[in-house]
Amino acid sequence: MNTTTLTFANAELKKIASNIGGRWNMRGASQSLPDGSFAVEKVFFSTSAASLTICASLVDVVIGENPDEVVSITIHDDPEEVRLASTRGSIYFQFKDEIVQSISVVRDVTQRYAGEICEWTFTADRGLIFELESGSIAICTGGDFTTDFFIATARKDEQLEVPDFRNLWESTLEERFETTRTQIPVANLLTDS
Amino acid sequence: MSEIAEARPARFRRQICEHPCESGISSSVMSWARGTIELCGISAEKNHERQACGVLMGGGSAPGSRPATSVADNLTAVAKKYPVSPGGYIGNGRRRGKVIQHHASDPDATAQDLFATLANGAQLVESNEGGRITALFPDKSKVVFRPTSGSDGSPAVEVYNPTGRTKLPPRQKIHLMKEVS
Repeated sequence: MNTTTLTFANAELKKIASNIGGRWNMRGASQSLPDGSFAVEKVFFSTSAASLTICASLVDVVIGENPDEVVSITIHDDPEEVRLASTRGSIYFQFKDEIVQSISVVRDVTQRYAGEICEWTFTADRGLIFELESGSIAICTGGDFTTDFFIATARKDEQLEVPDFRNLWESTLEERFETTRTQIPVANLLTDS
Repeated sequence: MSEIAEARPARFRRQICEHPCESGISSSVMSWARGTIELCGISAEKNHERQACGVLMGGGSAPGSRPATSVADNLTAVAKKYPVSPGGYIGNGRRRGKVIQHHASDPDATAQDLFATLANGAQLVESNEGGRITALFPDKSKVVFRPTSGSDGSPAVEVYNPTGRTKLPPRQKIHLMKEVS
């Protein structure tokens, strides 16, 4: 069975986890819709601990017999993205100064079956969920195939709608795809190394 | 026309047209080195929001027509100009997985026309790099224009239809190839 894994490296998880306990400052993107709900390629978030940018890029894979591309997300220090977003007014201060109580990684595992045999397992991190004092923020890719992000927010008394595009995997008579999603607290993914 | 002063890749620049389009709003013109797409920018000057409601120069949605809420709403318009298979795949060439080839005498112009037809009614977000444009509909379906695709360098148009509405498949990539004479 083939496997493809596109998950955050431990160093990236450490950077993400460093924001827990800090105070939320803002989020934004240089290329986004005016309401901040959708952005392409990059989204940054800033707390009292750090400013980090989630970047999306395409990676070549072979799905069954066919070459294809899937998206990989990585964490970077990208002051230029923050500067560009600020210049264009694409920054959002909802939940500002609230304590970051927890951060979870959204992880999807997709399995491709030919008949009853699982031939390919694809594990990929698809975004982050921030729990703040009065609400939460989800920043997730628009599926496994494009370098864009959907950003959702909710107050404590609302249901957070985590962007979910798993149904872009289309099953046919020849192949079947099954995708499961988990939200894993970033602290649970950290290793000592 | 007055040009928007923003850093752009050399191949790509965007302009705001001072002349109102037929719907009475100012239109933005997206220009590439080898072609032009005209798009109408609803409230463009007010909040930088852009909505595609036109096709190639001279195109545009009919006055009074209902705006598209999904890429699937534009399938009929696409089918008038391009072959569409019973499964909803667009293109006249062979299909391999989710990738379809469409052969045309001018692949760049055809890619722009196909994107503009599919993106009619969507909000546009441009990429900082590579000239990529994403058109997003209210139902979260989207169309992505790539001037050069990663695999073979040809222009490509990607269609994502997560709702499963109508006959469009959940996703497909149309590679525009030079027609062999």
